[in-house]
Amino acid sequence: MQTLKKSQIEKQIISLKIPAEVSFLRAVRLLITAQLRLRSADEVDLDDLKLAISEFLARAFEAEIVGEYIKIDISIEKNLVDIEIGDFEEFDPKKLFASPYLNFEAIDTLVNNFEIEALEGSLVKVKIKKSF
Amino acid sequence: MADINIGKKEKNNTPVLEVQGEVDIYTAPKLKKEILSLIDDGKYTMIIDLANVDFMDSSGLGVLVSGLKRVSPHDGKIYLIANRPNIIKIFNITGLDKVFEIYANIEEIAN
Repeated sequence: MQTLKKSQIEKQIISLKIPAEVSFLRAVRLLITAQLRLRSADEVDLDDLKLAISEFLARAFEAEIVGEYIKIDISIEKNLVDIEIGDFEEFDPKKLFASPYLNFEAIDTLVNNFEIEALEGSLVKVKIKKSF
Repeated sequence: MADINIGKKEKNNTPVLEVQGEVDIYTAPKLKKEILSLIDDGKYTMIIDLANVDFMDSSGLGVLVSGLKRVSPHDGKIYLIANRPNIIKIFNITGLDKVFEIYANIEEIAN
């Protein structure tokens, strides 16, 4: 019988506040990868999640809707990861991902859920769910 | 910008850029610079080896498409080498697998 490690059972919550610099994107991908590998996440699921997050943040930087810092809350429980990323100026996802290369529909196929939640004022945060 | 390394060599007089690391919005400009450098030298056909690229988002795709647009008027080509599933997937879901010639290794191109 396989015994699950404590880290695989408990809910994990990780909160980050990083400078809004593109050089930090790799660190975000590495952290998420390391945490989900601890829970034996499938590599394909990991790749899809990393691509969705990186793609969104890259487009957010290009559209200049980021503030001075980016807040990332990662919650992992069982085989589900919830990631909330904020705060951004309000944006239209169809326009943000208007690039012919990876559009919003393509991003949406990579994760279980990608939604935008309004915050106070004109700010929003992005909520991404991915099962693995 | 240490998250990407780009080696240069030649295969049958065709320049080869061997990319290693992660290609994202931070590192893509370095790849663009190397491609433009080849074009500036009049080398309009090149091989870009992505076999050792662990991650790429559409910032990287944008650079490759931009390079292709620049070499095409000169009858040039950009051949890609990619064999990692996550890299091939991004070409597939964007339809760029129909725009670029993608090979599993450099020998396939020669054939």
